[in-house]
Amino acid sequence: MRGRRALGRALLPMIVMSYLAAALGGCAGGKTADTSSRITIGIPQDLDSLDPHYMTAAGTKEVLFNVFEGLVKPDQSGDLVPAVAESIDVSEDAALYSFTLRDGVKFHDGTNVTAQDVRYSILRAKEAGVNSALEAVADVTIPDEKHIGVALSAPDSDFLCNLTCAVIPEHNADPATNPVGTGPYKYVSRSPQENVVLTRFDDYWGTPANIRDITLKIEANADAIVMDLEGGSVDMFARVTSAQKKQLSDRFRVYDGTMNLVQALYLNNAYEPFSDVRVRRALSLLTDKQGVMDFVSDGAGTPLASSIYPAFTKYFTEELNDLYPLDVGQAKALLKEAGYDEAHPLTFSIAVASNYQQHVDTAQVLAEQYAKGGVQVTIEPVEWNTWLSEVYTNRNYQATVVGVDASTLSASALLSRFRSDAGNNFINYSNPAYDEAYAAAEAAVDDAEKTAAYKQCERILAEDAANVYIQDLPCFVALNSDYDGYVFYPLYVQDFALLKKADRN
Amino acid sequence: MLRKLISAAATLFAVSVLVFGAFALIPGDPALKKLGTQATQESLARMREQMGLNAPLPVRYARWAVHFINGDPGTSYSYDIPVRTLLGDKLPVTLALVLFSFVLLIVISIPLGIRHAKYEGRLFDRVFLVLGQIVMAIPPFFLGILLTWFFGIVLRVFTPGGYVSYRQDPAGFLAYLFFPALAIALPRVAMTVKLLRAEVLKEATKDYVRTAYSRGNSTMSVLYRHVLKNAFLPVLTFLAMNLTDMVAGSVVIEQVFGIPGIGRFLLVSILGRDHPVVEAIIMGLAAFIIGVNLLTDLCYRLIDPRIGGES
Repeated sequence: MRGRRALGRALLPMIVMSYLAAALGGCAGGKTADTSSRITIGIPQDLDSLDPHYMTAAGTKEVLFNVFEGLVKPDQSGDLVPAVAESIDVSEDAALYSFTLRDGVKFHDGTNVTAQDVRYSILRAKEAGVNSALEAVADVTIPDEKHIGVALSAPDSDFLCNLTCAVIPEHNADPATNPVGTGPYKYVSRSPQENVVLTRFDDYWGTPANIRDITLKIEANADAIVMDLEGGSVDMFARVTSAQKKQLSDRFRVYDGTMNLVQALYLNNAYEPFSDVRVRRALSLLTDKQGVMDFVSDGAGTPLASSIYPAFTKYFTEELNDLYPLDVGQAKALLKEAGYDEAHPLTFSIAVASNYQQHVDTAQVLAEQYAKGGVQVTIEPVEWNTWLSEVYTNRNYQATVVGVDASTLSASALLSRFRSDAGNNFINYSNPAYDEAYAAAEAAVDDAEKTAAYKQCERILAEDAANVYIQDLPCFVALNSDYDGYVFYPLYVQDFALLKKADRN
Repeated sequence: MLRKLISAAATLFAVSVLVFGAFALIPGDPALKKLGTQATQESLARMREQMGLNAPLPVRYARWAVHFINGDPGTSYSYDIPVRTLLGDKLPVTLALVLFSFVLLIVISIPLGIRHAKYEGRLFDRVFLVLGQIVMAIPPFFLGILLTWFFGIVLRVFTPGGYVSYRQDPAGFLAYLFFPALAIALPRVAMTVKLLRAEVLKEATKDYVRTAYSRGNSTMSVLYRHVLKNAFLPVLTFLAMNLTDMVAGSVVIEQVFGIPGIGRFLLVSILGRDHPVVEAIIMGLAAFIIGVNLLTDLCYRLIDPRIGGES
């Protein structure tokens, strides 16, 4: 602190400056702030919206998990547990979900949560149209003040995950600038591109948070993260790279987890070469997943063979990884069969969002691996919004490396997009066998039957080499060792309420 | 002067058309960006309508221009906050940074430049010429990283990324800006010193200098009172050019030091397709550059009354 004040006088010539700096260095270097009840957490980008029904970025949802709650919310194993609701009852045909509201749940402004607020919230979220799954809500009824019923237009035994949709008070006139929820932390203030300040909500219905004040600091410059952590302006950052991990001193503990997404070379199945399953299989045979992981994150990561990642323990089938072992000879044979050889090599371009270094690195490794099989790959880095509109929406690309995540732990979150008529089927995948298996899964009410059908979908995607599946990327969370208690969720969630000051004795 | 004002207005118009056109050309749908990949088609269509994106380009431009001229640059797509409020809050940050570095530039380079000229060819001159050459060769962002590392991590004089808002703690705010400002100023200090040294040396051989000495003035007084006045004119142009350049440089330095100013907003808003914010910032920058050029002209006339009169 004293070092700073000395600088406030400023305007001294450089030489004097560095002398002063050396003299005062000792005082400024010591830890001064009381860390017992406050923490500064770096986040890679600013929140896209404070209105829970309009937020879309995974990075926003994962931190505002602490501010907003729905009737239910995910716990550490990804299971949905009652939050604003106290108990749940699903009708036999899975078309009516009934909830008993929990007693004494308060909004951050001190008012009680009413059934009317819940109804308002669900209908408002549906109206917002940001989560298309809510279209299925036909009506929200209030049988009495303690109960609420959500009726669906068609039976869906997987619908509960959508009722994590935030409950907000109807009387709040401006949810976009004055967010009010029911979570363990309440919103205090925000300065765009600078920070968002939260504080503990002392009337929280559940286990109260440990740390009182949280500042979410926007770390727009990825290159500054290590310096900010070491310098003490940030105590935690949930997305350090393996290179940054190595640079951190022992004042930081790094938690190893996975990002919970399916990273793959997604192939536009409508692009002529990729409509041929032999070509897709050949690319899978040319891919050395371990080689990618070694290069991108020093060997960390979990190899994948289909559009299911390991956190989906119920569905994840590890054996599928043996389907396409690295085999350049067989790949070349398949390519030759499909009409590609040295004279007419297979060429394609990989569009990759340049802000995701892991994906760019992966694309580069793949290009080299494929060159061994005589495949010529060009890499086309694009900026994220261009990627969204050109690749994802207009499907105007040949291949792309990206990670696809799941908003809920229901298999449909990852698998529904590969139905031939799905609006978000950005790889233009079309396979009647898959559509059939998926329809069977949707229709099944019996859990074992449903699981088996989803596993069948998973297997079809793998065998058909719909995409070149690579890995679930590793995730490194750096936390200043003054704190502990970080817990990974199998979803995009950062649970700040569990963080606490480390025991030093 | 009138002609200059008209040409300034024409330039601003051209800039606004260019920015608008550029946004029409680059891919990226602001509605999609706002509502995300899970959005329903209806809500996307509604959002596009609400943002006025369905109208033809000239209509959109005209709508925007009318509002803008009336002092309403619109509402930020990403923040749902009026652009005026959003930028009004961040403008002081960038202004402070640029002014701070400009002050540093003048305070350091003028005495240093004159000293160089005084000790021409001696050790001081030679050492600093080499040093200056090195500093000039380092791009500001890298200099920023070096300063952060050395003063922030090694000496711990300041906390890297420990920016505090000017509303919260004005003194702490200025203190944090010292190193970013230095990173912007130093390469320009080196250039200014070099230029000033050359100009002073050129002037020093002139007759009026000998006269000044003969009247019993000390070296320092001759250099500051007489030579500097004449040597300063080319330097002034250079400084004015630098002022505009520094605004551009601040965009990069804000990134390096984690300062949430206008520069950071420009980058984020371009990436986020936040047209109203980008338009407002670019127009502001253009107006600033044009304004500085006009002011430079005025300063010329003040320093040397022989200039001007025509126009």
